[in-house]
Amino acid sequence: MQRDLVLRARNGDHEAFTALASGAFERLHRTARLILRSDDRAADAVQDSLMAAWLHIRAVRDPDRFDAWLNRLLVNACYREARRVRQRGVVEIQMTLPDARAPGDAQELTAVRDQLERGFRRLTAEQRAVLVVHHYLGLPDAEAAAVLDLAVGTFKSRLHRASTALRAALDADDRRPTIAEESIA
Amino acid sequence: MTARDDFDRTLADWLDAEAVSPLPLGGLDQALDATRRRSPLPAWLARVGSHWIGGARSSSDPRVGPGWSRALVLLALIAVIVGSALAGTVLVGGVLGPRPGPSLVPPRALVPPPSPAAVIASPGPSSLAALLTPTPSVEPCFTDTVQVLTGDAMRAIVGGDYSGPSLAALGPGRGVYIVGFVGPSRSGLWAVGPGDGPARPIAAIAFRPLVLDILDLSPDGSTALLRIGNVHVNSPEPECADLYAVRTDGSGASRLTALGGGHPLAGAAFSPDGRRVAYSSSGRGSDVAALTALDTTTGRAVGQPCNNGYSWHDPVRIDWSPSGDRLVVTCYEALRIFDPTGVTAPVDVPPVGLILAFVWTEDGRIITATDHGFTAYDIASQTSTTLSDLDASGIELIAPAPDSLSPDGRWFTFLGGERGDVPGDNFRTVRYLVSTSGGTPTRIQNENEAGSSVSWSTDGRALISAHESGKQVEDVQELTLGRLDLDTLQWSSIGTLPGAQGIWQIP
Repeated sequence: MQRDLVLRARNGDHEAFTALASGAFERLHRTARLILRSDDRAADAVQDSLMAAWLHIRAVRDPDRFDAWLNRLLVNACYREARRVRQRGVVEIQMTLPDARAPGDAQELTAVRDQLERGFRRLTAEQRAVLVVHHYLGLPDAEAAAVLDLAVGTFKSRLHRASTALRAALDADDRRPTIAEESIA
Repeated sequence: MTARDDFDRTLADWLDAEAVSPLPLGGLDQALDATRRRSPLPAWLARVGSHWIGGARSSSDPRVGPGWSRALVLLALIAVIVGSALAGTVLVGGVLGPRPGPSLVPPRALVPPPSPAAVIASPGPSSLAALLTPTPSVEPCFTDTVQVLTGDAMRAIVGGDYSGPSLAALGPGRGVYIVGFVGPSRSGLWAVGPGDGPARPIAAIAFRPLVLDILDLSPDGSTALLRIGNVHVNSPEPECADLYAVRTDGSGASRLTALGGGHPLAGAAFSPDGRRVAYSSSGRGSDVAALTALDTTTGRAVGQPCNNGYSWHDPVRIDWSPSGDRLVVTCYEALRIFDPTGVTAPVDVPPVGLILAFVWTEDGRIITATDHGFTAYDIASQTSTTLSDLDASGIELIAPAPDSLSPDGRWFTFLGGERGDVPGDNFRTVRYLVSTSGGTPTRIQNENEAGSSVSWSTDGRALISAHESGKQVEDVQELTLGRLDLDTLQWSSIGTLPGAQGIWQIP
């Protein structure tokens, strides 16, 4: 089914491409949001990747690889979006609305989630991308490396480093209460 | 089930949950509106997001609409700007501080010091040989409990069980110095070379800080300056980072600053004679941040207002004039020249744009790199000259390191974007080298090597690089060290650092 849509889209069929984009939109946006940690910037990245996909759909040689190709466009769009923000020296103020989903008896779960959220934000966009394609998209190493446009060895290396960085960030969080007590004492 | 499996499962579960948590639809609506306004995306394609929104979410939900978040952000910004104005400051590009003057005029102080400078600390007469130890932080900081261990104390905690660095950086100056992590809870500093021989452990830390950098080596190579710190994003706990001096012969180490929470150390550099150390700290809001010149022979420290931002990724660069009578550093997004004694007021170098890197050269110029090109400021004549235009190269500049200009100001290295035949499809990050006097940037490292740490040789004639080879030895990355001769642009291998078991032979 998807293969047919890709072939039709490659020949300029708007409706076929719309169907492909509609089917991928939610996945793309969730992935971009995990990498960029911002809905607005994720929307921009998805927009850029879909635009690039439409403009260059004829570059897809293997219709069965459309999803991998689109994932790669998205990751590249996320990198560019992250760089744009970094180059402008923008300081983002993250406004977190009260979370109505967290019940009072789920404090521990919320604490773990918050800790992961903080740790994840400390990573670079490139590190987050590695973790997202591996743990969220669940791609095998070779495919994840292709999405990120890396050699497999480099992907493994970056996955290791990103995991290490995240663990370090979580460790730092774990230390905070102890450190504060020791310092005050 | 291993701890790693648990961690991976927890992370995967969290990513799944995060990916489907409610989205603030205002941002998506706005982005799709922007799509319709500014992009050639066909109207039929721009409907894609709208279909999805309509099917999965209620865009009329007032809790998460654009009005709430944007109003809150606006209120926060207004509060910050009003607060800043009351403190005599203006928000400029994410850094709180006075606007830099248009030319060589004394900058307005953030908080006027008692005199042009203030003596802010005096640990007592000492020399760096005794390794100064400051008084404890006013505000609690995790560095109050950190010890950099050397000698027998170091050996007691690390034994022979080095597993090599999972994160490495090259120190400037003689030999190759590497900071890294040992296992899940320790960190260390090692020396490699010059010449053949095993890597030599110098110091160890009994835990893993998030921020660990080699900032500088003393001119005689006897002492390394380390930055050790932590960051707490979205946390009420302030960021902390302090300066440590470590003897490169492994004979001692000590903390040099106690800056306290919220004033993390941003950068540090030895004076040309090695007697003084200049370091900068950052502050938030209307807090005072300072550039401090510490005389290590007397313990006298002179601080002057300067907020130059803080990055836990890249230390802030501080450069001494060759004679050691002036310092240059970025303050409030301007290049500012300081008298380290504080007797004369600082002056600003005429602005040239967003400064990415700078260096004070032996011939009395300050070379600056911006995202558009290179400028030379002649100290004697107080005139600026445009050297070349980086925009004309057509290379998209991504990320220069703070010390990406060679010591003589002739070369600049940066990570740049390179595209293939299909725009947007195969964007690659590669390392380039370009002469500051102009010319086409030369690709010197491919994408697999571009994540390397680089450092200039002291004579500016070579670029040293360390990058991961892609091989893993017992879960630790192998590092490859190389040397680029700037006359021939040819790489030569220095060797590899096998990660496991800790004896790093340099062929």
